Amino acid sequence: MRPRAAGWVALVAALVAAGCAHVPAYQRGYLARPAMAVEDSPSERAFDKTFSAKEAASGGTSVGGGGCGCN
Amino acid sequence: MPALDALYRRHHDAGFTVIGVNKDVALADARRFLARTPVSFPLVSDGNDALARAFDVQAMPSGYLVDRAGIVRFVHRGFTDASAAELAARVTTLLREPRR
Amino acid sequence: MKAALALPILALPTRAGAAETGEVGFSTLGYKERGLIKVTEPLLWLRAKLGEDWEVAASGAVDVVTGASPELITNRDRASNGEARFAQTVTGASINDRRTTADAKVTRHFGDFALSVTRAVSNEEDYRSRAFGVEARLDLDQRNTTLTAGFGRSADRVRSSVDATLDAPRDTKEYLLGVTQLLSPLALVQSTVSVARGRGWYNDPYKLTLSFYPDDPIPVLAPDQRPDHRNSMAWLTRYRRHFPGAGGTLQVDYRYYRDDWGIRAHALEGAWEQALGERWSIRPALRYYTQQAADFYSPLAPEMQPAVQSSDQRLASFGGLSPSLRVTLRLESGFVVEGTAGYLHNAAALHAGGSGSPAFETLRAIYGLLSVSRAF
Repeated sequence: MRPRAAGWVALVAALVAAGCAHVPAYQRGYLARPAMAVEDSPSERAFDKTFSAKEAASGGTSVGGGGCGCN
Repeated sequence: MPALDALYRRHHDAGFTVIGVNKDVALADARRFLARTPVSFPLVSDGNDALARAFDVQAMPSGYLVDRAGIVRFVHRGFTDASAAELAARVTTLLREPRR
Repeated sequence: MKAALALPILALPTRAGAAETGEVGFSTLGYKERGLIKVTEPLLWLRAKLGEDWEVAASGAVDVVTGASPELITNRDRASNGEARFAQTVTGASINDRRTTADAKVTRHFGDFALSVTRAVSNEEDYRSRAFGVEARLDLDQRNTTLTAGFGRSADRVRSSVDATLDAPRDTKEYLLGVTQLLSPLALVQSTVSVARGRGWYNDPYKLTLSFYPDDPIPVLAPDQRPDHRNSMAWLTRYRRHFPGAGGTLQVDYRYYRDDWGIRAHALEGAWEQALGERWSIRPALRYYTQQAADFYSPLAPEMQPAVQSSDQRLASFGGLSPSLRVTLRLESGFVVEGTAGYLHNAAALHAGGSGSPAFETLRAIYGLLSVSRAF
């Protein structure tokens, strides 16, 4: 699995590097829209638990969030 | 914005002017902002980024203080209460410089 | 400068830069599973800038769970062809569980660098969690690239409302590395990898497996037994792309998860946020999830009991689909009202590759959220 994972990381890195245009500060009008946000709002974080309470996978967004005894 | 407007109204007769440059991509956003925060100084739209590139804008908002000879004397990046007071002081200083 | 003055002067306002100082909000989340659990969760949050360099954020929520949860997996029934049929039994005892959580985050900005400290606490009758985290953020190239690194530690205590002698610890350390990159004036991508290492009590004190064997009149009753450690990795990538012509934004999130329990899971969510006029927007979304069972998952308790075995179907192989719809109203005054409704459908048949666990009982649930917030 390790060589495959490394392959994916390299692919993402390549896509990111290839897709990088330098965006000046004055061309960020669209990027500032709420729909373009990548940080979760508190409501969205609450939704995460809706899914993670029924699934085995969790996390990926932040650290230090603590656990729960979701039964 | 109110700070800039106050500065404009106070020193306009002495020869100081403020020109606001709009970078909003949608006109509707700009109009909505004007309805909430009206200003009395002139405004321009910089749709093709010519002005932003000419002034090499690094941060939004940025302010460029230009003297009577057309030389940029100070660049403001971001806008805080402290920088508003500093700007007012610099405007007063530059206005005391002799006309050419 | 003189040339600039020759530009036509149009009566358009400028943007002074969002002078927003903070936001406060309240929301209620509801979840109802057919025939089983019902959850309601009121949540309150606050975010504020203090001066130029400091930021604080805090939130608190109360989770109220009522209903019943599956406790027993048994193979008592047999299909007409003799094949084992598994059934999930809800053993009469109803739940009335209440979980209180609170978290706070303090951030200090140093130019392009920001440091955050977080603290989270969670209390319920049979589970207590205390966690803290540290996060560093570095903006490069005028925020074209942002790097994030984080470390978190959680100290939990597991108890049981049916077994007063249980009071076991569970400690987890988490590490995170992420990068956010602007791709164009219309698109950006974020990719984050987080690794967690946990040690402690992972058994579910409420789940049992009851298995009948043809050659043995006495059935095997096994408690839920899991490893005493869990090491996992989650890799989340988010893509956002705005389409000005259509007035909409494409949002795609993909998360790959794997751990040393043998679980491999993929979660993919696609959404389209469409602006309807200046105030309204609508966001249909579809989430697909698939997971490969844990090595020790089995709906059958072996006659010779191994050290670890669990019939908890959340560790099984299954897939799930969740469509949802969110409607947002943004008002001039800074108020934002948001409503979301969704449906969750988890089933063995939805497993990618088609080999879902046969004992998996299909889950059907609806969920929704209503929130009101105000920027100030």
